[in-house]
Amino acid sequence: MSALNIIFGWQMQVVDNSTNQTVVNASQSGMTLAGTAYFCDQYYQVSTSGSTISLPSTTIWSLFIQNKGSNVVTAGWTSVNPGGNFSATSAGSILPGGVFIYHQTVETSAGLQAIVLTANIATTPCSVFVGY
Amino acid sequence: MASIGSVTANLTLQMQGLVSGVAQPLVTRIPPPFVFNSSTDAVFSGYLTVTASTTSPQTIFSLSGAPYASFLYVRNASTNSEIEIFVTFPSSLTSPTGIALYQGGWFLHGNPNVNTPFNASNTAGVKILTAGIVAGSAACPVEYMYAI
Repeated sequence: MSALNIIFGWQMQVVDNSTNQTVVNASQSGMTLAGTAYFCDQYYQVSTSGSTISLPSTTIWSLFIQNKGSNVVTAGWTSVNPGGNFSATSAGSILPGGVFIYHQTVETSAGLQAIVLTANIATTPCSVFVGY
Repeated sequence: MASIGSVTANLTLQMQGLVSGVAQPLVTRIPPPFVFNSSTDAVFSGYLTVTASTTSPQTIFSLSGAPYASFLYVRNASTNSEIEIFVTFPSSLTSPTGIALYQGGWFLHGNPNVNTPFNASNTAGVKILTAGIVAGSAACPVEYMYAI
């Protein structure tokens, strides 16, 4: 039996301000990964020279990052088995208040490795969760 | 383009430890809602079947210019354990970014208040989303949603 259940859920609403009506209301819940270990830091300090997150396993299948600061943070990672035409090493920008989530429900394939966060101007706090 | 309003995404992360078969919540993270600015112009969603390979990926959407998508959600909706897909979301115009999603896997990339002109140091929008099948079945259903 796995020690942990890592469960993600989300809800998205779009409000038309002119009529104050909700025009889109979508959600999903209960997306569960049977996990073994996790690391969570609500105020992980991201440096401008690059902060490598200490992963509980070489490959993780659940990732949550939220930029809690006022500077842009770049998240870099290595995808496992990304396919033949693409580089496994990739990156994306997370602006202040922005979020990046990657969540798999099984650990059979895919996953992320070598996650590095880099702040563009000054040390920036981020909420970080990684699990497998 | 006329503004349609704001986009709010509420996200919840919950963890349960299974102790002697009894689920005990360990961590519940409920970030503040992500409220996009009032100049949000459009929201699109869809469900399609990807049949392309990663060597010639299938375009799900492609935006000609700013504003780009400030919110993107993509899920591999397959139940075939052999299917794996690859998606790209170039956050800049020159360096495509990729991630692999196995069956049931998903990712979400959202930045509030980025519906403004982008520049070299602030390129957080998504311009193009493509997908291809790495291995498994010849067809993979993909669910997606994005906001501009």
